Amino acid sequence: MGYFSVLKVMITQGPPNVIFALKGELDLTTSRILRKEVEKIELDKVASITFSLNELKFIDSTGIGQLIGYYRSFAKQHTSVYIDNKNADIEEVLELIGVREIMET
Amino acid sequence: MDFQAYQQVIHVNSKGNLFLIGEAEYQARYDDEEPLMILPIQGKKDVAQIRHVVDDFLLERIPNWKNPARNRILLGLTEAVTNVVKHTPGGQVLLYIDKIGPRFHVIDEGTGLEFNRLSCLLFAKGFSTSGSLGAGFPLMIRFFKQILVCSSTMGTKLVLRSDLTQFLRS
Repeated sequence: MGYFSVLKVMITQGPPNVIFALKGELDLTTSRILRKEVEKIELDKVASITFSLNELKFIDSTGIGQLIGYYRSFAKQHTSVYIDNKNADIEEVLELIGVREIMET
Repeated sequence: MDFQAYQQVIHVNSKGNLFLIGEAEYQARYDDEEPLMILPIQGKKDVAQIRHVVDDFLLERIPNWKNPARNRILLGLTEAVTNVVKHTPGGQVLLYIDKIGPRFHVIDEGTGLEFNRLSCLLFAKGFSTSGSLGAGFPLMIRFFKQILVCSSTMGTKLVLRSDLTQFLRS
């Protein structure tokens, strides 16, 4: 089987207000790709982080858990985390899991 | 509480969507059927790989697969496979197609579900035995028409029945 789950993570805006644009699929297979990119940023220069999910085709509870994990861990360092999403399929999953109740948009 | 009592509690709490069954009932229901596909679950990469293989296969086999149910069914399947990868040594997915939609049997080689924590695991959003979100089972219950759970110390079998017309109505 030659199938691969692909996630591309691009930084479309740099510090102090960083935007990560996610393209592809965020699940258990690809979560490490996002983790590596997020680990590269120098937090002391960052005021906020936005994850843009507008070009994401798929997200599951593992991917959402990762984003909520960043929200919680960065909040301790006074860095705000936001989600930008206009994709209806992705939004349905975010709402079902209750992300909108936990995180700011 | 005995198995029959758990069966009734789970059935009522799920509004009839979820059944606990024993190994004998599982065998009686399904042992004569040949799966259309058998996909091994061995590691993280299989979470996405199984989703893509199943999607491609169903695109060829089911004329109305491209309907609103597709993404939801694939998400539910992904949650089940992710649970196998995270919590057990491995397993496999068996694929069947019923009249109303695809049916998946997600079989693992773990130590089984703890019945006394099953209600929390299945219905309480945020309940997790591993520190994760605990949203997997509630999503599966939401997106599949019916789920049968057959669990013992030899492992767990989830039968995930989908209904392609379910989300056209909502």
